[in-house]
Order: sequence, then structure tokens, then C-alpha cells
Amino acid sequence: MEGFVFPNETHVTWSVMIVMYPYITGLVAGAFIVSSLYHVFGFEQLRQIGRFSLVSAFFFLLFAPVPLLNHLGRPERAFNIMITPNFRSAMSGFGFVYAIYTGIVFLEIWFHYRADFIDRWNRAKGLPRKLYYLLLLGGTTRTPETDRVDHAIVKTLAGVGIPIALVLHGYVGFLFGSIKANPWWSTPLMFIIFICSALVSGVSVLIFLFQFVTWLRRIPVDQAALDTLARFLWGFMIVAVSLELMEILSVAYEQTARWAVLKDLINGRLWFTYVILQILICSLVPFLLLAVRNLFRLPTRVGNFLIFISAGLLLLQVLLMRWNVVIGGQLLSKSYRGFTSYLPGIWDKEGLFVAALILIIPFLLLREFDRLFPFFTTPTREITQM
Amino acid sequence: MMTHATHVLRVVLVVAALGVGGLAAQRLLKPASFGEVGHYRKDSVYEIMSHEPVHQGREACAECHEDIHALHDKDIHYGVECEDCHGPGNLHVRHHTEDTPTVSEEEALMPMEYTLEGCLFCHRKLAARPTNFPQIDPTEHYKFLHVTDNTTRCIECHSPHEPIYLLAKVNEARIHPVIHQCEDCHDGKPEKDHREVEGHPVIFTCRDCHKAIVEDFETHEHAFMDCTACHLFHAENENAGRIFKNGNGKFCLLCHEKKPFKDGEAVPQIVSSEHLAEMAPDLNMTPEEISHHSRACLDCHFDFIHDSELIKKGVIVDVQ
Repeated sequence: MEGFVFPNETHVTWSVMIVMYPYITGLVAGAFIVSSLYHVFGFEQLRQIGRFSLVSAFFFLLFAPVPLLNHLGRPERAFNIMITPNFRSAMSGFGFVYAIYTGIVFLEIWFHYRADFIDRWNRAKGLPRKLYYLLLLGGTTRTPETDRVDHAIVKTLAGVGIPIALVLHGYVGFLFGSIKANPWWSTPLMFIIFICSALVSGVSVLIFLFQFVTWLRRIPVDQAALDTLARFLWGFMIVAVSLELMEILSVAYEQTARWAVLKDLINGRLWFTYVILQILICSLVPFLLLAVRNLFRLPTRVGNFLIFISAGLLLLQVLLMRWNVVIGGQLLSKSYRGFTSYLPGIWDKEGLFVAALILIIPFLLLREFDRLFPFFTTPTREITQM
Repeated sequence: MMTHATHVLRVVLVVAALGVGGLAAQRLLKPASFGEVGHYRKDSVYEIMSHEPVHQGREACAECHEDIHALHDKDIHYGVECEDCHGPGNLHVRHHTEDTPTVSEEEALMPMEYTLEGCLFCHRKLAARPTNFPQIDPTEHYKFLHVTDNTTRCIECHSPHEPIYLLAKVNEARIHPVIHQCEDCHDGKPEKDHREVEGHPVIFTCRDCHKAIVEDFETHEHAFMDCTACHLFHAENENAGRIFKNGNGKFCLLCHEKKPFKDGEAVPQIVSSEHLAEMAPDLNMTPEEISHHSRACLDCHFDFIHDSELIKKGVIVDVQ
């Protein structure tokens, strides 16, 4: 503790769990937008990664509320926001947006994989056959016409899903941005910054996994898809980081009382995690690497390596951004004259181990899904060109 | 077209069923009186009103624990309720008052565990707390008192029931004025503002009124301490507060009692029971009598603090 801190500010209430929550929803929103680039905006080169990103979005989505539930002392009460909804509350809105969005992503996956399910149903025997039948809701007919219908529905759901994905993630930024008593959070730009960084983290995680899996399995990487993603990543990160810095610059230029305290926060408590790690190492370095990769002709292996490093650093950048926003805002006393401190425990209920576990489980589920329906092999399922 | 979309129809039906099911579940799960008078369950108000209070209040404790209550009531923690530290006493009271107890002995036990956080909840040093409220940074406090073991518990030295060992009841301690307005010292409003008078204090400290005593104190061994370490001042309002004069030997022993967790070389330390027994004949007392003599330390060692001759003249106020 340093300076003038009110007694009720010594404890940082929103722990690392509240850092994980926007991070995971960011991965969801980002991955979903990438899938939509193929399904809605016609980026054919992202065909293979389109379904991978869609399923990734779904598994991350399943785990997005887990940190919140773990943070609550009485998690079963969380459902009250839907049983007795208060429509003037942003948090209440989250319950409905989350439910609708999960439904949309699930349906999109269902329609996307329906052909695969029918194929499996045809080949399976016994209980799996019954389960596939149940999953298909008894609709086992597949013709070029049904494929066209499915494709049209996938495209529609992907289109409808984009604004909902943005609302789902934007809501988190909106919540922080509307806490007017906190000078580090209170800005209408917050939700835009959150959405932009969500896109960065979503593209990063896909690139990271895509390259990691192809390297692990010694299969050739889909260079066209990777190049497209790398260009998008560069673009998204430029917008996200510029917005973050411009927001700070604007506060600094105003030279109000708000800056007097934020300056001390940035130069003190957040110096290492914000200035050194988030801005210098995890933003500037990937910006330069991606610039070199996208502007100059490099050997493919070198170029891909630069993309891989950049994606890894940008994944960290977004995690650090969430940390610096969520924790940073709570380190500051409302007196504007003091700072508290926070260090998460390793084995605590809301500690680092649990945080890592919540983040890792979606990846394990993706691995299991990949065993059933491999992402990165050439599908033989086409009846029509989808 | 429709034959190609029968599977879509099934999905629509499932989604619609889920939607209707969700709405039905919401209707079913929504508490009966919710929303009648606001965004809460009206019945909850009556349920809360019907709860039996779990906290019993200090008078209930005093009925059986009169000795501890009297000690607690006398000292500076008198404003802290017993149940603030020991937890709610409803089961304890019920067990000990019912003819045929319906509460087991285990359920009736009151928590008495010590936790550092329990004390620091009020006494952790925070710039936001009033400066005259006793507060510590544990590391600095241990350093100041030459405590070598940083796991030492507060209660090894301080008694929560009698934290500053007052000789009189705390709310009977002498009222001390706070110099607040010109008329507190001057007859009528002075002609000049205090800023126009050279050397006029802006905030009055002990030295401004008790110059002789303070200057004498500074020639003694305890000069490194603040006056308020022993003469703890508790502001009651803007104009006055109470001075607690600690003449009790137990207060001296906070620093001077030999303890295994202290650096024995740092300040003179004694084993009080042995030292008092040894000194009893010099004071014409039996060991039993001296153990109950609160001011025993000051009887012999007063001159380590103040010049006894100066103090005998009474409280010297020498406002210039």
C-alpha cells in the first residue's frame, strides 16, 4: 500500500478470474469473426480454418462464464439474473446475450457439421448410431438441395452472429467503461478497445493453434490461410494498440486531475506489466515482426516463424491488457492519492492454477473434437461446393 | 423446397420448445411475491423481520462473564462489542440458559482463535485513518519493539480486553481541551490574526502549553518517544478529547518485559514476577501486595521519564 488508501480499498475484489473472463470472451468473439470471414465475407482461403475457428469459438464460449461462477461465493444465484431479469442492468443483459449467442454458435456448428453427422450415422452401429440419429433430430436425408439449405442457414447465422459476438464482448468493455468513479476505466472508448483486442486475441489463438498443430503433425501448413490471417492480425493489432495508446494520449493531453493519478499508476504499479510488457514487448515487437513479414519477401519458414512468434506475443498482449485494465483500475484509490497492491495466489480458489485450468480445458476439448471430426485433413464430404 | 428443409423445421421446433420451456421455467422459478413492490421479493422483508437475532449484545455476556466485561468496559476497547471478535453468541447463550439444552456443547463454543488480520482490520496503518487512531505497520512495529520473531502474535503483549491497561475507566479519563478558537486562550477576540504574530503556533502541540515538562522530558531516557505514546489522546469532538495517562506498570512492561521473541540486548528487560518479588521489601510490601500494585514501576523508575519534582508541582501550563 502506498499513500492515501481508504480502508475498503485495500482488498482487490475483482481477482484474476475477472481478468480471465474478458480474455476468454475475447477469444470467442475473435475466433467467431474469423469464421465469419469465410462464411459471410467470402474469404475462400480461410475455408479450412473457418470450421476450426467456429468450433474453437464454441468451446471457449462454454468456458467464458466459468471464471465468473468461480468468483461468486454463491454461483447458483447467478441464474437469478435470468429468472428475475432487470432489463436496466448491463449484467442482466449478459445472461440473455450469452444464451442467444451460444444457441447461434451451436446451431451454426450443427448445420455446418450435419453432413459429417449423416456420414457418421451411415457408418456407425449400435449406440453411436442412435446418438447420431438423436443429434440429427431424425433428419438423415442429405441431398445437394439440403446442403444448399444448410449452407444458406450457416451463412445467415454467421451474419446474425457477428453483431451478437460484438455485443457479447463489447458488453464487458461497456461495463468497465461505465464505472464512472474509476478514472482508469471510465471511457466510452473502452468497449471499442475491448472489441478490437478481442479480434487480435481471436486471430492470434487461431494462428498459434493452426501452426502448432501442423508442426506437431508434420503436415504442410495452408499457406494461403496463414498469410490471410497474418495480414488480418497485423491490421487488427494496429487498430487495437493505436486505440489503446490514443486513449491514454488523450487523457494525458487533457492534463486533468484524472491524468495526475493515472500518470502515477502507469509510472508506478503498472510500469512493468503495462509499459514494458504490454506496450514495448508484446505490442511493439509483434508490430515490427508482422510489418517485416507482410512488407518484405522472406523465406516461407522464416516468415511463418515470425507470424508464430507474433501470434504468441499478441496472445500475451491481450492477456496483459485485460490484467492491466481489470487489476490496474482497482489498484488506484478513489482518493486519487494512493495505491494498493495485488498478487494472486497460486493454489487459491481464485488463483493462478485455477485460471490456467479454465484456460486449458477448452483446448483439451478442441483436441477431443478434433479426434472425432479432424479439422486439418481434406474433407471427403462434399456433395456440393459449400 | 420444403422437403429439403424438413430438418430445419425440426430444429426450429426444438428451438421453439426450448424457448417456451425456458419461459415456463422462468415463470415457475420466479419467486411468488417478486416484483410486487420493487425489484425484489416482497416476502423476504417479512422473513428477515422474523429472524431471531444471532447477536446478543454485551449485556448478555456480562451476565455470566462480569469480570472480563468490567475489564473490557474500563479500557479503550469498550466500544468494541464482545461478538465482534468472538462471533454471534445466540447458540452459546441458549445452551447455557436452557434447562434442557437443545444446542450441543460443541455448537455452543464461542470462537476465540487469534488472527493477525482480526487485529489489523482496525489497526493496520493506513494513511486514510485518523492519525490519532492507533495503527501499525507490523514490520515497523516489530522493529521498533526489537521483536526478532516476525510470527509473534499481537496477543503475546497486548490483551484485547485491556489493551492499554488504564488505571481509571476510559470514559472517566480527564478531558483535555483542544485549542481551537482564539478565545480558548485569549480573553475576547484578539486584535491581530495569529498569522500576524511571530512564533504563534498554527496547530498547538504539547510543547506549546507544557514547555517546561516537554523540555525536561527531552533530557530523559524516553525522549525518543512521543508524549502521546503514554498520554494517549482520544479526540471526542473538535474542541476536546480525553487524555489517558498510563501509570500502569503493565504498560511499561509492553517494552520492558523479557520475552523469548525479543532482542534481549536492545532495551532493559526484566522478568516482572521475579523483579517485583525482589523489590517488594524496598517498598514495604509483600510479594502478593506488590503484584497488585499497578504503579509499582513508577514508584522507583519515575525519573527515567519525568523529573518527579517538576511533576509534583502539578500540571504546568505555561502558555506564552
